Amino acid sequence: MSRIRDPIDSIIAGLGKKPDASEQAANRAVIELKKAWVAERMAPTVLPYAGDTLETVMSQIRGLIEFVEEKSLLLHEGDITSSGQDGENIKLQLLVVETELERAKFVARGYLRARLAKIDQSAIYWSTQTPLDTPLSPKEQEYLQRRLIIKEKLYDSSFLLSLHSDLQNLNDTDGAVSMVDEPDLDKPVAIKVTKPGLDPVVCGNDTVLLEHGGLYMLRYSAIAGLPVDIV
Amino acid sequence: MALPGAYLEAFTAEEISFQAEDELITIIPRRHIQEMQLAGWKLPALRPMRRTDVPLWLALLLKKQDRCSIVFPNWMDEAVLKDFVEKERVEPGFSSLPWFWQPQSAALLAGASDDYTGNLDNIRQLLQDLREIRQAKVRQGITLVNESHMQMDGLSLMELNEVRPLMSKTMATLQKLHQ
Amino acid sequence: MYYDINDIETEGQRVPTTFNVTVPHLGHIVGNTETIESGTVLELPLWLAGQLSTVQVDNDAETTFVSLEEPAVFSPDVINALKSAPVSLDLAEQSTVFTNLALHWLQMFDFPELANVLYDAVQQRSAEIYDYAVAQRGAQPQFDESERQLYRLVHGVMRNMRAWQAFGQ
Repeated sequence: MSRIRDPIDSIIAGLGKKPDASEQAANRAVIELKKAWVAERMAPTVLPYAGDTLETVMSQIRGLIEFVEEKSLLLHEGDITSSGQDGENIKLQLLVVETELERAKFVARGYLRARLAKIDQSAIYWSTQTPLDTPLSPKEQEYLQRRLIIKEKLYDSSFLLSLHSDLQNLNDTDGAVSMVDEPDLDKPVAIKVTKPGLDPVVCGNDTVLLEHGGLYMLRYSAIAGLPVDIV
Repeated sequence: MALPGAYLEAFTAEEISFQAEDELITIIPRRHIQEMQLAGWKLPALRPMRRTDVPLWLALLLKKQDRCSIVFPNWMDEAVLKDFVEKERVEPGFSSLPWFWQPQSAALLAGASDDYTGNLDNIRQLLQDLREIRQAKVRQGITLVNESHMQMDGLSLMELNEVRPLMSKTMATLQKLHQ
Repeated sequence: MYYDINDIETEGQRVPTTFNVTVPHLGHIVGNTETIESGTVLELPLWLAGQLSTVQVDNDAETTFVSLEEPAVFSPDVINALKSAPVSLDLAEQSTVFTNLALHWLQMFDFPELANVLYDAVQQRSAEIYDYAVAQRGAQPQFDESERQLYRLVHGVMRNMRAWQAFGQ
Protein backbone atom coordinates (compact mmCIF):
# COMPACT_ATOMS: atom_id res chain seq x y z
CA MET A 1 0.00 0.00 0.00
CA SER A 2 1.07 3.56 -0.59
CA ARG A 3 3.19 5.59 1.75
CA ILE A 4 3.01 9.33 1.77
CA ARG A 5 6.40 11.01 1.68
CA ASP A 6 8.35 11.98 4.77
CA PRO A 7 6.83 15.36 5.75
CA ILE A 8 3.38 13.91 6.26
CA ASP A 9 4.74 10.79 7.91
CA SER A 10 6.60 12.86 10.45
CA ILE A 11 3.56 14.99 11.10
CA ILE A 12 1.48 11.91 11.73
CA ALA A 13 4.19 10.45 13.94
CA GLY A 14 4.18 13.74 15.85
CA LEU A 15 0.47 13.34 16.57
CA GLY A 16 1.30 10.42 18.81
CA LYS A 17 3.33 12.41 21.36
CA LYS A 18 1.38 13.09 24.51
CA PRO A 19 2.23 14.62 27.83
CA ASP A 20 1.34 12.76 31.01
CA ALA A 21 -2.21 13.94 31.59
CA SER A 22 -3.29 13.14 28.08
CA GLU A 23 -1.66 9.74 28.32
CA GLN A 24 -3.85 9.13 31.32
CA ALA A 25 -6.82 10.32 29.33
CA ALA A 26 -6.02 7.92 26.51
CA ASN A 27 -5.47 4.86 28.65
CA ARG A 28 -8.29 4.96 31.13
CA ALA A 29 -10.88 2.27 31.69
CA VAL A 30 -13.56 4.09 29.69
CA ILE A 31 -11.35 3.93 26.61
CA GLU A 32 -10.73 0.25 27.23
CA LEU A 33 -14.45 -0.34 27.59
CA LYS A 34 -15.06 1.63 24.41
CA LYS A 35 -12.75 -0.77 22.58
CA ALA A 36 -14.67 -3.68 24.07
CA TRP A 37 -17.94 -2.07 22.93
CA VAL A 38 -16.63 -1.67 19.38
CA ALA A 39 -15.38 -5.27 19.24
CA GLU A 40 -18.60 -6.57 20.76
CA ARG A 41 -20.72 -4.72 18.20
CA MET A 42 -18.84 -6.16 15.23
CA ALA A 43 -17.91 -9.68 16.38
CA PRO A 44 -20.45 -12.35 15.46
CA THR A 45 -20.33 -14.05 18.85
CA VAL A 46 -20.45 -12.89 22.46
CA LEU A 47 -16.87 -12.11 23.54
CA PRO A 48 -15.34 -12.81 26.96
CA TYR A 49 -16.96 -10.56 29.55
CA ALA A 50 -14.97 -7.40 30.34
CA GLY A 51 -16.33 -7.44 33.90
CA ASP A 52 -13.35 -5.82 35.62
CA THR A 53 -13.20 -2.94 33.16
CA LEU A 54 -16.95 -2.40 33.41
CA GLU A 55 -16.75 -2.42 37.22
CA THR A 56 -13.97 0.17 37.16
CA VAL A 57 -15.99 2.39 34.85
CA MET A 58 -19.08 1.97 37.02
CA SER A 59 -17.21 3.04 40.13
CA GLN A 60 -15.85 6.04 38.24
CA ILE A 61 -19.36 6.88 37.13
CA ARG A 62 -20.53 6.72 40.75
CA GLY A 63 -17.69 9.03 41.73
CA LEU A 64 -18.71 11.56 39.08
CA ILE A 65 -22.34 11.40 40.13
CA GLU A 66 -21.33 12.17 43.74
CA PHE A 67 -19.28 15.10 42.52
CA VAL A 68 -22.20 16.47 40.51
CA GLU A 69 -24.56 16.12 43.45
CA GLU A 70 -22.20 17.86 45.87
CA LYS A 71 -21.43 20.76 43.60
CA SER A 72 -25.02 21.23 42.49
CA LEU A 73 -25.99 21.44 46.14
CA LEU A 74 -23.42 24.17 46.73
CA LEU A 75 -24.88 26.22 43.93
CA HIS A 76 -28.43 25.44 44.93
CA GLU A 77 -28.10 26.37 48.59
CA GLY A 78 -26.67 29.71 47.68
CA ASP A 79 -23.37 29.22 49.52
CA ILE A 80 -21.78 30.26 46.30
CA THR A 81 -23.39 32.75 43.99
CA SER A 82 -23.54 31.37 40.53
CA SER A 83 -22.57 34.67 38.97
CA GLY A 84 -19.26 35.06 40.83
CA GLN A 85 -15.88 33.67 39.93
CA ASP A 86 -16.28 30.53 42.08
CA GLY A 87 -19.76 30.00 40.77
CA GLU A 88 -18.59 30.17 37.19
CA ASN A 89 -15.81 27.72 37.91
CA ILE A 90 -18.21 25.28 39.47
CA LYS A 91 -20.61 25.64 36.58
CA LEU A 92 -17.85 24.87 34.12
CA GLN A 93 -16.71 21.88 36.17
CA LEU A 94 -20.27 20.59 36.28
CA LEU A 95 -20.59 20.98 32.54
CA VAL A 96 -17.38 19.04 31.91
CA VAL A 97 -18.10 16.32 34.45
CA GLU A 98 -21.68 15.84 33.30
CA THR A 99 -20.49 15.49 29.70
CA GLU A 100 -17.89 12.92 30.69
CA LEU A 101 -20.52 11.15 32.77
CA GLU A 102 -22.90 10.89 29.82
CA ARG A 103 -20.11 9.59 27.61
CA ALA A 104 -19.13 6.91 30.11
CA LYS A 105 -22.76 5.87 30.53
CA PHE A 106 -23.21 5.71 26.77
CA VAL A 107 -20.25 3.35 26.43
CA ALA A 108 -21.37 1.11 29.31
CA ARG A 109 -24.90 0.92 27.92
CA GLY A 110 -23.68 0.33 24.37
CA TYR A 111 -21.42 -2.48 25.54
CA LEU A 112 -24.18 -4.29 27.41
CA ARG A 113 -26.77 -3.73 24.69
CA ALA A 114 -24.51 -5.19 22.01
CA ARG A 115 -24.08 -8.32 24.13
CA LEU A 116 -27.80 -8.59 24.85
CA ALA A 117 -28.61 -8.25 21.16
CA LYS A 118 -26.39 -11.24 20.37
CA ILE A 119 -27.68 -13.23 23.33
CA ASP A 120 -31.22 -12.62 22.02
CA GLN A 121 -30.25 -13.68 18.52
CA SER A 122 -29.02 -17.12 19.59
CA ALA A 123 -30.78 -17.48 22.93
CA ILE A 124 -31.28 -21.23 22.83
CA TYR A 125 -27.70 -21.80 21.76
CA TRP A 126 -26.37 -19.75 24.68
CA SER A 127 -28.60 -21.63 27.10
CA THR A 128 -26.90 -24.88 26.08
CA GLN A 129 -23.42 -23.63 27.00
CA THR A 130 -21.95 -24.97 30.22
CA PRO A 131 -21.04 -22.47 32.96
CA LEU A 132 -17.38 -23.14 32.16
CA ASP A 133 -17.74 -22.38 28.44
CA THR A 134 -20.12 -19.46 28.52
CA PRO A 135 -18.85 -15.92 28.00
CA LEU A 136 -22.03 -14.64 29.65
CA SER A 137 -21.83 -12.88 33.00
CA PRO A 138 -24.00 -14.24 35.85
CA LYS A 139 -26.46 -11.39 35.31
CA GLU A 140 -26.63 -12.08 31.59
CA GLN A 141 -27.26 -15.77 32.30
CA GLU A 142 -30.10 -14.78 34.59
CA TYR A 143 -31.49 -12.52 31.87
CA LEU A 144 -31.23 -15.35 29.35
CA GLN A 145 -33.07 -17.86 31.54
CA ARG A 146 -35.93 -15.48 32.31
CA ARG A 147 -36.16 -14.43 28.70
CA LEU A 148 -36.43 -18.05 27.55
CA ILE A 149 -39.16 -18.79 30.06
CA ILE A 150 -41.22 -15.75 29.08
CA LYS A 151 -40.88 -16.45 25.39
CA GLU A 152 -41.72 -20.12 25.78
CA LYS A 153 -44.87 -19.21 27.71
CA LEU A 154 -45.90 -16.77 25.02
CA TYR A 155 -45.33 -19.28 22.21
CA ASP A 156 -47.11 -22.01 24.17
CA SER A 157 -50.20 -19.97 24.82
CA SER A 158 -50.22 -18.38 21.37
CA PHE A 159 -49.89 -21.50 19.22
CA LEU A 160 -47.52 -24.25 20.28
CA LEU A 161 -49.89 -26.01 22.70
CA SER A 162 -52.45 -26.44 19.94
CA LEU A 163 -49.97 -28.49 17.94
CA HIS A 164 -49.14 -32.18 18.26
CA SER A 165 -46.58 -32.68 21.04
CA ASP A 166 -43.94 -33.79 18.51
CA LEU A 167 -44.20 -30.41 16.85
CA GLN A 168 -43.83 -28.29 19.94
CA ASN A 169 -40.06 -28.28 20.14
CA LEU A 170 -38.19 -25.03 19.67
CA ASN A 171 -34.77 -26.66 19.80
CA ASP A 172 -35.04 -29.39 17.17
CA THR A 173 -31.68 -29.90 15.48
CA ASP A 174 -32.54 -33.14 13.63
CA GLY A 175 -34.30 -31.73 10.57
CA ALA A 176 -32.71 -30.36 7.42
CA VAL A 177 -32.48 -26.96 9.07
CA SER A 178 -31.49 -26.73 12.74
CA MET A 179 -33.88 -24.63 14.80
CA VAL A 180 -31.07 -23.52 17.08
CA ASP A 181 -29.38 -20.46 15.61
CA GLU A 182 -25.71 -20.41 16.39
CA PRO A 183 -23.37 -17.46 16.00
CA ASP A 184 -21.84 -17.49 12.52
CA LEU A 185 -18.14 -17.65 13.36
CA ASP A 186 -17.18 -17.35 9.69
CA LYS A 187 -18.77 -13.92 9.41
CA PRO A 188 -16.20 -11.48 7.97
CA VAL A 189 -15.05 -8.80 10.41
CA ALA A 190 -12.67 -5.86 10.08
CA ILE A 191 -9.52 -5.91 12.18
CA LYS A 192 -6.58 -3.63 12.81
CA VAL A 193 -3.25 -5.26 13.59
CA THR A 194 -1.85 -3.22 16.47
CA LYS A 195 0.96 -5.56 17.51
CA PRO A 196 4.00 -6.70 15.51
CA GLY A 197 5.08 -10.30 15.10
CA LEU A 198 1.76 -12.11 14.83
CA ASP A 199 1.80 -15.49 13.12
CA PRO A 200 0.03 -15.79 9.77
CA VAL A 201 -3.55 -17.03 10.02
CA VAL A 202 -5.34 -19.59 7.89
CA CYS A 203 -8.39 -18.37 6.01
CA GLY A 204 -10.02 -21.16 4.03
CA ASN A 205 -7.37 -22.17 1.48
CA ASP A 206 -5.32 -19.01 1.99
CA THR A 207 -2.70 -18.05 4.51
CA VAL A 208 -2.87 -14.41 5.48
CA LEU A 209 0.08 -12.45 6.86
CA LEU A 210 -1.00 -10.03 9.55
CA GLU A 211 1.23 -7.01 8.95
CA HIS A 212 1.70 -4.62 11.82
CA GLY A 213 -0.55 -1.62 11.21
CA GLY A 214 -2.59 -3.45 8.59
CA LEU A 215 -6.36 -3.21 8.20
CA TYR A 216 -8.04 -6.43 7.09
CA MET A 217 -11.43 -7.88 6.50
CA LEU A 218 -11.53 -11.62 7.10
CA ARG A 219 -13.61 -14.32 8.74
CA TYR A 220 -13.89 -14.01 12.51
CA SER A 221 -12.90 -17.62 13.11
CA ALA A 222 -9.43 -16.94 11.65
CA ILE A 223 -8.61 -14.30 14.27
CA ALA A 224 -10.76 -15.32 17.26
CA GLY A 225 -8.77 -14.85 20.47
CA LEU A 226 -5.81 -13.16 18.75
CA PRO A 227 -4.54 -9.83 20.11
CA VAL A 228 -5.89 -7.78 17.20
CA ASP A 229 -8.44 -4.97 17.40
CA ILE A 230 -11.85 -5.70 15.93
CA VAL A 231 -12.91 -2.32 14.57
CA MET B 1 -34.96 -5.83 21.05
CA ALA B 2 -31.69 -4.70 22.59
CA LEU B 3 -30.48 -3.22 19.31
CA PRO B 4 -31.89 -2.83 15.80
CA GLY B 5 -30.43 -5.64 13.67
CA ALA B 6 -28.53 -3.33 11.32
CA TYR B 7 -26.51 -2.09 14.32
CA LEU B 8 -24.67 -5.41 14.37
CA GLU B 9 -23.61 -4.84 10.74
CA ALA B 10 -22.29 -1.27 10.94
CA PHE B 11 -21.93 1.67 13.28
CA THR B 12 -23.98 4.80 12.79
CA ALA B 13 -22.11 7.93 11.72
CA GLU B 14 -22.95 9.45 15.11
CA GLU B 15 -21.34 6.54 16.94
CA ILE B 16 -18.17 7.00 14.91
CA SER B 17 -18.16 10.73 15.70
CA PHE B 18 -18.51 9.74 19.32
CA GLN B 19 -15.47 7.48 19.07
CA ALA B 20 -13.50 10.24 17.35
CA GLU B 21 -14.19 12.64 20.20
CA ASP B 22 -11.76 10.77 22.46
CA GLU B 23 -8.86 11.60 20.13
CA LEU B 24 -6.48 14.13 21.63
CA ILE B 25 -6.14 17.62 20.26
CA THR B 26 -4.11 20.66 21.28
CA ILE B 27 -5.86 23.65 22.80
CA ILE B 28 -4.67 27.07 23.88
CA PRO B 29 -6.64 28.05 27.02
CA ARG B 30 -7.86 31.62 27.20
CA ARG B 31 -8.49 31.66 30.92
CA HIS B 32 -7.34 29.76 33.96
CA ILE B 33 -9.26 26.56 34.57
CA GLN B 34 -8.97 24.59 37.80
CA GLU B 35 -7.70 21.05 37.95
CA MET B 36 -10.52 18.55 37.58
CA GLN B 37 -10.96 14.92 38.51
CA LEU B 38 -12.66 13.08 35.67
CA ALA B 39 -13.38 9.41 34.97
CA GLY B 40 -10.02 7.75 35.58
CA TRP B 41 -7.89 10.78 34.76
CA LYS B 42 -7.12 14.19 36.05
CA LEU B 43 -7.35 17.27 33.87
CA PRO B 44 -4.47 19.44 35.05
CA ALA B 45 -5.03 23.11 35.79
CA LEU B 46 -5.10 24.95 32.47
CA ARG B 47 -3.12 28.17 32.26
CA PRO B 48 -3.81 30.85 29.69
CA MET B 49 -1.78 30.53 26.51
CA ARG B 50 -0.18 27.27 27.61
CA ARG B 51 -0.80 24.54 25.07
CA THR B 52 -2.33 21.34 26.39
CA ASP B 53 -3.61 18.16 24.75
CA VAL B 54 -7.15 17.18 25.71
CA PRO B 55 -9.80 14.88 24.22
CA LEU B 56 -11.66 16.46 21.30
CA TRP B 57 -15.01 16.47 23.14
CA LEU B 58 -13.50 18.53 25.94
CA ALA B 59 -11.77 20.86 23.50
CA LEU B 60 -15.08 21.51 21.73
CA LEU B 61 -16.89 22.03 25.00
CA LEU B 62 -14.32 24.54 26.29
CA LYS B 63 -14.33 26.25 22.90
CA LYS B 64 -18.08 26.64 23.08
CA GLN B 65 -17.68 28.27 26.49
CA ASP B 66 -15.08 30.57 24.96
CA ARG B 67 -12.43 29.19 27.29
CA CYS B 68 -9.91 28.15 24.66
CA SER B 69 -8.97 28.16 21.04
CA ILE B 70 -8.22 24.93 19.22
CA VAL B 71 -5.04 24.23 17.28
CA PHE B 72 -6.00 22.48 14.07
CA PRO B 73 -3.99 19.32 13.42
CA ASN B 74 -1.18 19.64 10.91
CA TRP B 75 -2.78 17.30 8.42
CA MET B 76 -5.58 19.85 8.00
CA ASP B 77 -3.15 22.49 6.70
CA GLU B 78 -4.08 23.42 3.17
CA ALA B 79 -0.62 22.54 1.83
CA VAL B 80 -0.60 19.15 3.54
CA LEU B 81 -4.11 18.36 2.38
CA LYS B 82 -3.15 19.31 -1.18
CA ASP B 83 -0.26 16.89 -0.94
CA PHE B 84 -2.64 14.21 0.28
CA VAL B 85 -5.02 14.85 -2.61
CA GLU B 86 -2.21 14.64 -5.16
CA LYS B 87 -0.91 11.38 -3.70
CA GLU B 88 -4.41 10.03 -3.50
CA ARG B 89 -4.87 10.72 -7.21
CA VAL B 90 -1.72 9.03 -8.46
CA GLU B 91 -1.12 6.20 -6.02
CA PRO B 92 -3.22 3.06 -6.08
CA GLY B 93 -3.58 2.56 -2.32
CA PHE B 94 -5.22 4.78 0.28
CA SER B 95 -3.00 7.51 1.68
CA SER B 96 -2.52 7.28 5.43
CA LEU B 97 -4.98 9.86 6.67
CA PRO B 98 -5.91 9.63 10.35
CA TRP B 99 -8.33 6.85 11.38
CA PHE B 100 -10.95 9.51 12.20
CA TRP B 101 -10.16 12.10 9.53
CA GLN B 102 -13.76 12.70 8.50
CA PRO B 103 -15.51 13.08 11.88
CA GLN B 104 -12.52 14.96 13.29
CA SER B 105 -12.42 17.51 10.47
CA ALA B 106 -16.21 17.79 10.47
CA ALA B 107 -16.32 18.48 14.21
CA LEU B 108 -13.52 21.03 14.04
CA LEU B 109 -14.99 22.87 11.08
CA ALA B 110 -18.40 22.93 12.72
CA GLY B 111 -17.25 24.00 16.17
CA ALA B 112 -14.00 25.91 15.77
CA SER B 113 -13.78 27.23 12.22
CA ASP B 114 -12.74 30.68 13.53
CA ASP B 115 -9.53 29.09 14.86
CA TYR B 116 -8.51 27.95 11.40
CA THR B 117 -5.83 30.14 9.92
CA GLY B 118 -6.16 29.15 6.28
CA ASN B 119 -8.93 29.38 3.73
CA LEU B 120 -11.98 27.40 4.88
CA ASP B 121 -13.55 27.00 1.45
CA ASN B 122 -10.32 25.61 0.09
CA ILE B 123 -9.94 22.90 2.72
CA ARG B 124 -13.60 21.98 2.53
CA GLN B 125 -13.07 21.43 -1.18
CA LEU B 126 -9.88 19.44 -0.59
CA LEU B 127 -11.63 17.24 1.98
CA GLN B 128 -14.46 16.68 -0.47
CA ASP B 129 -11.93 15.79 -3.21
CA LEU B 130 -10.26 13.30 -0.92
CA ARG B 131 -13.57 11.71 -0.10
CA GLU B 132 -14.52 11.32 -3.75
CA ILE B 133 -11.19 9.97 -4.94
CA ARG B 134 -11.11 7.47 -2.10
CA GLN B 135 -14.72 6.45 -2.63
CA ALA B 136 -13.88 5.61 -6.24
CA LYS B 137 -11.04 3.39 -4.99
CA VAL B 138 -13.38 1.67 -2.56
CA ARG B 139 -15.72 0.96 -5.46
CA GLN B 140 -12.84 -0.49 -7.42
CA GLY B 141 -11.93 -2.65 -4.43
CA ILE B 142 -15.36 -4.25 -4.23
CA THR B 143 -14.89 -5.98 -7.58
CA LEU B 144 -11.68 -7.50 -6.20
CA VAL B 145 -13.15 -8.83 -2.98
CA ASN B 146 -12.67 -12.57 -2.56
CA GLU B 147 -13.95 -15.22 -0.18
CA SER B 148 -10.96 -15.24 2.13
CA HIS B 149 -9.66 -11.79 3.01
CA MET B 150 -9.20 -8.21 1.92
CA GLN B 151 -6.45 -5.83 2.98
CA MET B 152 -7.50 -2.18 3.12
CA ASP B 153 -4.63 -0.29 4.74
CA GLY B 154 -5.18 3.44 4.99
CA LEU B 155 -8.96 3.29 4.88
CA SER B 156 -10.47 5.25 7.76
CA LEU B 157 -13.14 3.98 10.12
CA MET B 158 -15.94 6.07 8.59
CA GLU B 159 -15.05 4.85 5.09
CA LEU B 160 -14.67 1.27 6.26
CA ASN B 161 -18.00 1.45 8.03
CA GLU B 162 -19.78 2.67 4.93
CA VAL B 163 -18.67 -0.30 2.87
CA ARG B 164 -18.44 -2.86 5.69
CA PRO B 165 -21.90 -4.44 5.38
CA LEU B 166 -21.51 -4.83 1.63
CA MET B 167 -18.03 -6.36 1.98
CA SER B 168 -19.04 -8.62 4.82
CA LYS B 169 -22.16 -10.00 3.13
CA THR B 170 -20.47 -10.31 -0.25
CA MET B 171 -17.52 -12.19 1.26
CA ALA B 172 -19.94 -14.48 3.09
CA THR B 173 -21.74 -15.30 -0.18
CA LEU B 174 -18.41 -15.89 -1.93
CA GLN B 175 -17.35 -18.19 0.92
CA LYS B 176 -20.39 -20.35 0.25
CA LEU B 177 -19.77 -20.36 -3.51
CA HIS B 178 -16.15 -21.31 -2.97
CA GLN B 179 -16.83 -24.42 -0.88
CA MET C 1 -29.45 -19.52 10.24
CA TYR C 2 -32.97 -20.80 10.80
CA TYR C 3 -35.45 -19.79 8.11
CA ASP C 4 -35.78 -16.25 6.99
CA ILE C 5 -38.28 -15.09 4.37
CA ASN C 6 -35.74 -15.46 1.59
CA ASP C 7 -35.15 -19.11 2.56
CA ILE C 8 -38.84 -19.93 2.74
CA GLU C 9 -39.38 -18.33 -0.65
CA THR C 10 -36.40 -20.26 -2.01
CA GLU C 11 -37.54 -23.61 -0.69
CA GLY C 12 -40.94 -22.98 -2.25
CA GLN C 13 -39.42 -22.77 -5.74
CA ARG C 14 -40.52 -25.63 -7.95
CA VAL C 15 -37.80 -27.80 -9.42
CA PRO C 16 -38.20 -30.68 -11.90
CA THR C 17 -38.01 -34.21 -10.52
CA THR C 18 -38.30 -37.64 -12.10
CA PHE C 19 -40.05 -40.34 -10.12
CA ASN C 20 -37.85 -43.41 -9.75
CA VAL C 21 -40.69 -45.59 -8.53
CA THR C 22 -44.36 -46.03 -9.19
CA VAL C 23 -46.46 -44.55 -6.41
CA PRO C 24 -50.09 -45.62 -6.15
CA HIS C 25 -52.80 -43.35 -4.79
CA LEU C 26 -50.77 -40.16 -5.32
CA GLY C 27 -51.95 -39.43 -8.84
CA HIS C 28 -54.21 -36.60 -7.73
CA ILE C 29 -51.22 -34.29 -7.35
CA VAL C 30 -50.51 -34.68 -11.06
CA GLY C 31 -54.10 -34.49 -12.19
CA ASN C 32 -56.65 -37.13 -12.93
CA THR C 33 -54.77 -40.40 -12.59
CA GLU C 34 -54.72 -42.85 -9.72
CA THR C 35 -51.03 -43.70 -9.82
CA ILE C 36 -47.79 -41.79 -10.44
CA GLU C 37 -45.86 -43.99 -12.83
CA SER C 38 -42.14 -44.42 -12.50
CA GLY C 39 -40.46 -42.01 -14.93
CA THR C 40 -43.05 -39.30 -14.48
CA VAL C 41 -41.50 -35.83 -14.55
CA LEU C 42 -43.04 -33.52 -12.01
CA GLU C 43 -42.18 -30.10 -10.64
CA LEU C 44 -42.10 -30.09 -6.85
CA PRO C 45 -41.17 -27.42 -4.33
CA LEU C 46 -37.51 -27.62 -3.42
CA TRP C 47 -38.13 -28.52 0.23
CA LEU C 48 -40.14 -31.58 -0.79
CA ALA C 49 -38.05 -32.51 -3.81
CA GLY C 50 -34.89 -32.28 -1.73
CA GLN C 51 -36.27 -34.67 0.89
CA LEU C 52 -37.64 -37.17 -1.64
CA SER C 53 -34.37 -37.21 -3.52
CA THR C 54 -32.37 -38.21 -0.46
CA VAL C 55 -34.76 -40.67 1.20
CA GLN C 56 -34.29 -44.27 0.03
CA VAL C 57 -37.32 -46.27 -0.95
CA ASP C 58 -36.28 -49.08 1.36
CA ASN C 59 -33.23 -49.77 3.44
CA ASP C 60 -31.55 -52.21 1.05
CA ALA C 61 -31.99 -50.27 -2.14
CA GLU C 62 -29.98 -47.32 -3.39
CA THR C 63 -33.05 -46.01 -5.15
CA THR C 64 -34.57 -42.78 -3.89
CA PHE C 65 -38.16 -41.74 -4.53
CA VAL C 66 -37.24 -39.08 -7.04
CA SER C 67 -34.21 -37.76 -8.88
CA LEU C 68 -33.71 -34.02 -9.10
CA GLU C 69 -33.30 -32.53 -12.55
CA GLU C 70 -31.52 -29.29 -13.22
CA PRO C 71 -33.96 -26.37 -12.99
CA ALA C 72 -34.33 -24.21 -16.09
CA VAL C 73 -32.90 -21.22 -14.22
CA PHE C 74 -29.53 -22.99 -14.21
CA SER C 75 -29.63 -23.99 -17.87
CA PRO C 76 -26.52 -23.43 -20.00
CA ASP C 77 -28.27 -20.46 -21.62
CA VAL C 78 -28.68 -18.67 -18.31
CA ILE C 79 -25.18 -19.53 -17.15
CA ASN C 80 -23.73 -18.20 -20.41
CA ALA C 81 -25.77 -15.04 -20.13
CA LEU C 82 -24.56 -14.55 -16.58
CA LYS C 83 -21.02 -15.11 -17.75
CA SER C 84 -21.13 -12.67 -20.64
CA ALA C 85 -23.23 -9.97 -18.98
CA PRO C 86 -22.88 -10.46 -15.21
CA VAL C 87 -24.13 -7.00 -14.33
CA SER C 88 -26.86 -6.31 -16.86
CA LEU C 89 -28.53 -9.72 -16.69
CA ASP C 90 -31.98 -9.40 -15.14
CA LEU C 91 -31.50 -11.90 -12.34
CA ALA C 92 -34.96 -11.39 -10.90
CA GLU C 93 -36.45 -12.34 -14.25
CA GLN C 94 -34.75 -15.74 -14.00
CA SER C 95 -35.87 -16.17 -10.43
CA THR C 96 -36.64 -13.66 -7.68
CA VAL C 97 -34.46 -15.77 -5.39
CA PHE C 98 -31.78 -16.72 -7.91
CA THR C 99 -28.71 -16.34 -5.68
CA ASN C 100 -30.19 -18.13 -2.72
CA LEU C 101 -31.59 -20.91 -4.90
CA ALA C 102 -28.13 -21.37 -6.37
CA LEU C 103 -26.60 -21.56 -2.89
CA HIS C 104 -29.16 -24.18 -1.85
CA TRP C 105 -28.60 -26.12 -5.05
CA LEU C 106 -24.83 -26.06 -4.67
CA GLN C 107 -25.16 -27.52 -1.20
CA MET C 108 -26.78 -30.56 -2.78
CA PHE C 109 -24.86 -30.87 -6.02
CA ASP C 110 -21.43 -30.22 -7.45
CA PHE C 111 -21.94 -27.69 -10.19
CA PRO C 112 -18.62 -25.89 -10.73
CA GLU C 113 -19.79 -23.90 -13.78
CA LEU C 114 -22.62 -22.37 -11.80
CA ALA C 115 -20.43 -21.72 -8.74
CA ASN C 116 -17.63 -20.09 -10.75
CA VAL C 117 -19.82 -17.94 -12.94
CA LEU C 118 -21.91 -16.82 -10.00
CA TYR C 119 -18.77 -16.06 -7.96
CA ASP C 120 -17.60 -13.59 -10.60
CA ALA C 121 -21.10 -12.18 -11.04
CA VAL C 122 -21.51 -11.59 -7.29
CA GLN C 123 -18.28 -9.53 -7.24
CA GLN C 124 -19.44 -7.40 -10.18
CA ARG C 125 -23.00 -7.03 -9.00
CA SER C 126 -21.94 -6.05 -5.48
CA ALA C 127 -20.08 -3.09 -6.95
CA GLU C 128 -23.28 -2.26 -8.82
CA ILE C 129 -25.28 -2.39 -5.59
CA TYR C 130 -22.72 -0.05 -4.05
CA ASP C 131 -23.11 2.39 -6.95
CA TYR C 132 -26.85 2.43 -6.57
CA ALA C 133 -26.57 3.05 -2.86
CA VAL C 134 -24.01 5.84 -3.33
CA ALA C 135 -26.16 7.53 -5.96
CA GLN C 136 -29.27 6.97 -3.81
CA ARG C 137 -31.15 5.52 -6.73
CA GLY C 138 -33.78 2.97 -5.85
CA ALA C 139 -33.00 -0.75 -5.97
CA GLN C 140 -32.74 -2.03 -9.50
CA PRO C 141 -35.69 -4.14 -10.58
CA GLN C 142 -33.21 -6.72 -11.86
CA PHE C 143 -31.83 -7.37 -8.37
CA ASP C 144 -32.98 -10.63 -6.83
CA GLU C 145 -34.17 -10.91 -3.23
CA SER C 146 -30.70 -11.42 -1.69
CA GLU C 147 -29.42 -8.41 -3.61
CA ARG C 148 -32.39 -6.34 -2.55
CA GLN C 149 -31.80 -7.16 1.10
CA LEU C 150 -28.16 -6.19 0.72
CA TYR C 151 -29.12 -3.00 -1.10
CA ARG C 152 -31.48 -2.01 1.71
CA LEU C 153 -28.78 -2.55 4.31
CA VAL C 154 -26.13 -0.60 2.39
CA HIS C 155 -28.59 2.13 1.46
CA GLY C 156 -29.51 2.56 5.13
CA VAL C 157 -25.88 3.02 6.11
CA MET C 158 -25.30 5.54 3.29
CA ARG C 159 -28.44 7.49 4.12
CA ASN C 160 -27.29 7.77 7.72
CA MET C 161 -23.90 9.01 6.51
CA ARG C 162 -25.57 11.68 4.43
CA ALA C 163 -27.83 12.81 7.21
CA TRP C 164 -24.80 13.16 9.44
CA GLN C 165 -23.60 15.85 7.04
CA ALA C 166 -19.93 15.56 6.47
CA PHE C 167 -17.50 18.43 6.90
CA GLY C 168 -19.59 20.66 9.07
CA GLN C 169 -21.76 21.97 6.27
